[in-house]
This record gives sequence, C-alpha cells and structure tokens, in this order.
Amino acid sequence: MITLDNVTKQYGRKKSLDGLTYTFECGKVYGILGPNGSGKSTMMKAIAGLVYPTEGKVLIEGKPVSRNIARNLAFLSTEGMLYKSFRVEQMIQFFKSQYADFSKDKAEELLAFMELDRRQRVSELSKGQQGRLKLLLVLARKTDILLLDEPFVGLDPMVRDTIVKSLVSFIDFGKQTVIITTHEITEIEPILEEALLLEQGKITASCNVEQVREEQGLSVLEWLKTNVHRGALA
Amino acid sequence: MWLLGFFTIYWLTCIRVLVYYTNSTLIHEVINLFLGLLKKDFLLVKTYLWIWLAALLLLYMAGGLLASYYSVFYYMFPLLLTLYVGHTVIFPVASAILLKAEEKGQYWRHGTAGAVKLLGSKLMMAALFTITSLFLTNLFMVISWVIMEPVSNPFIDLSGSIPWLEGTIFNIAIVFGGLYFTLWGLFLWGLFHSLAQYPALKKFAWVIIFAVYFGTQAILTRLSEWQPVKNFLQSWSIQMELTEMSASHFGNVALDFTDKGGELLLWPILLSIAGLCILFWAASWLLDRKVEV
Repeated sequence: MITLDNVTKQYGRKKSLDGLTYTFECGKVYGILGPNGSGKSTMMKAIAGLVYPTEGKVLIEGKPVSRNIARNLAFLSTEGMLYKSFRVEQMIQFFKSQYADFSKDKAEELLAFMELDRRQRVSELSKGQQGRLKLLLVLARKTDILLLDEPFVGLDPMVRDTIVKSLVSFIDFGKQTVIITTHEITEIEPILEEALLLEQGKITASCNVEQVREEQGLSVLEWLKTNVHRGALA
Repeated sequence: MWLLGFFTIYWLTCIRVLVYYTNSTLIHEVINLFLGLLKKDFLLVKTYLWIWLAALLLLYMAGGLLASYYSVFYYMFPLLLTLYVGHTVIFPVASAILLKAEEKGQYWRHGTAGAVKLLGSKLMMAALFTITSLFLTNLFMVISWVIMEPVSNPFIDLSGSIPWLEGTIFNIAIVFGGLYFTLWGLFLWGLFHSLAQYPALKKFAWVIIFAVYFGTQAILTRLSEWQPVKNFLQSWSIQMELTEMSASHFGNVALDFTDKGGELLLWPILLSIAGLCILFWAASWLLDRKVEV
C-alpha cells in the first residue's frame, strides 16, 4: 500500500504537489492523468524516494520512503535511464548487476517480444526502440511496485500498441501495484483499474474505470473531459 | 596438546565462517553490484581514456620530433614535467566526466547501491584513468631519459642513473594531489545539487560553493599557523633516507629529483587522509539524503 499523506512539494513559490492525500492499494493498476505541469512526474519521483516532500509524508507499507525503496520498486523515468554509448546487451547486464530480482530469462523473452537487437547501441535506437528498451528493463524485474512515468511520450501509435501489449503480457496483475502517468488515455484504458486526475498538484477527480464504463457508459477519455471541465470551474 | 587442539578448532571454525560468507548470496550480490557499477563507469569513460592516451602519445611524438629537429631534445623534460603536474587535474576531470554522464535526470540515484558505492566506483574509475595516463607518461619519461643518458636496460638499471624511488614518490604525490581535488569536487558537487531543494539559496549556489571551499581553506591555514597546532603537527615524524644523487644535466635543463633526506611529518599526512575520508563521507551523505532528481 502506498500512502501519500498531505504531500506538498514546493519549488520556490510554485507548488508542484499541493497537499496531496491518496492511498494506492496493492495489486491495482492506476492511471494518473492530467495536463503538463500538473505534478505527475513529481508525484512519481516522491513515491520512488527521489524527491523529498516539503510537507507531508510518503509511506510504503507504513514506512517512510527513501531511495532504498528501489529494492522493491521499478521506476521507468522519462530521462536519464539509458546510457547513449551502451549497447542494448550492456544495459541489460548493468540492470542485472544492480537488481537481485532482475530476471535474465524474462529480459530475453522481452527482448524478443520488443524486437530489439542486443548489439545495437542506445544512441542508434529510435525513440520508440528506446521506450521499449526502458520498459524491458523495468518489466524484467520482479517487484511489488511498478512506476511508469510517461511510457508513451513521443512514440507513434504502433509502438504504443506494442508497449500496451507488453504490459498486458508481463505485468503481474493482482500482485503488482502499477502506477502509470500518461496523456495517451485511449491506449492504456484496457489495462487501467483506477484513474486519477491530477491538476495543479491536487487530485481533482478519481474513478474506478469499470464502474464508469458500466454505470455511466463513459470511456476514461470522456470521463476525463467532463472532470477537467469541472476542475477548471472549481 | 589441549592448546593445539583448541587453536585447530578455532581456525577451522574461522575458515568455515569465511567460506560461508564468501559463498553467501548477500556477498555475491554486493560484489556483483559493485562490479556492475565499475563496468558501467568504465564504459562511460573508456572513449575519453583512449582519446586522451592517443593525444598524449601524439603530444609526446610531436614534441620529440620538434625537439630532435632543433637538436634540443632535453626540452622534452620540461614538457614531461608539465604533463606530470597536469595529472592532478586529470583525476578531477575524469570524475567530472563520470558525474556529468549521470546528471541528466539523476536516474543513477534510483538503485540498490548506496551513495558510497556509487561515488566509490566513480572515484576508482577516475583513479584508473589517472594512473593509466601516468603510466604512459612514466614510459615516455624513461624513453626520453634513456635517449639522453643511455643505459643497457632501464628497467633493471642498478647504476642509479634513473631515479625510480623519487619517481615513485612523485607519482604518489601527484595521485594524492588529484585525489584531494577530486574529493573536494565530489563534495561541492553534492552540495551544489543539494541546494536545489532550497530555491532561495539556489540563486546563490556558486557563491555558497566558493565560500565553503575558500572559507575552509582559510580556517585550516589559520589553524595550522597557531603555535599549539604547529607543535602538534611537528610532534611525530620519521626520518626519510633517500639516496643522495647528483643532479642530471641535459643541456640547459637540470633534473634533480633527489633529496638528502629529511623529516617526514606524519600528523599532517594522517590528518589530510582523515579530512579526505570525511569529504567522501559527506559527499555520499548528501547524495543519499539531499540530492534530488
């Protein structure tokens, strides 16, 4: 269970997170939606123990988060994750050396699934291939928590589709708590269980995706449009 | 007999414990983790290393050719000495290259390795960079020396014409000097990035960095001038017995590495080492707890 207890993160006068309180339950897949600069990435980094709240607490299983949480949490970051001069194989070997839970077999399986060439250098990979490699590196780990910060950013629809398929195939549904921040709602909708709307560092709306679909007959995108409007009015 | 039996059992138990721990998963994990970091840092710096070694070779060859052309080959020695002293800069520069590679996104902080291991690996790779470069420079020095003052086999030269001992001490001093600047660099780098947490201070980050460095230096200088501290620092010394050797004159250039020997003050050396350890620990502490992504 991940608990955000009145978390505020302030950079100068700007509040990136503003008194955020929410509990992420174990084994569920969450989608964090919201416009640019709404605090999605800051929230992910705070959960990963890489950003320290100005106020409030981030707790995982009741314990305050520090960067040591990386033992049990895989984090796909938008930048700085890959070394340009490395080959794909070297990136895999490096991650294997750093995480005891990194499965070489799963990495091999993912390598074939993502259609990546192990001899290619990261600098030679397209944006889509880099995105797939990042996903390979986090999905090959056996962790309780998986944080995916903008896994679709800058990717074409074909690549996005591959990534969603890989998530469906390789996420341990019901066991892993997965939090995904994204703008690409349509692609990710089939795997989401809960959706949260983050605006100006606050959660302005949240829903159970299945409930919205069955009771209100809305897709997450439609739900989002309605709630962004409400949020703006509030 | 009893005593012999007791010691046999004691040593056998010790060996068993040692074997258990070296085979344990935890130790393997820690070793793998650190080796992984070392390999990563080597891959990050290796291109720079090859380029630098090639540049060093070209510089030496160009200098040698030019000096030979004008029949002033002994001018190679000032060039080589400049290169030697330049190695105090190479150590921190190699570390800076390694840190720069991690700066974008600071994702390296997301991992199972503690800051001591993260920085330790970078420090070791920067040391490897410096020592490899020093080794090549030493080789050039020996070649130049042999050209100017031929000996049958310079590496088993027993005549004493090549100052091996003095050279080794000089090399150690250079590495130590480089380590000093590197550890200060690591600490100030950590401090600089820690200030990102405090936007009001961030504007004056460079002022704070300069103030911390020069302030510390000023305090240490004042302290070392204080008579009781001076007495303490001079209270423990060992006598250095270096072979006295006449200076080597190559043309207008005189090289005299030798010393008639003298007192080597131990407290300043030990305190410097302790100071560097504190800097390393402080840099690691900042990286673990204060630097943000």
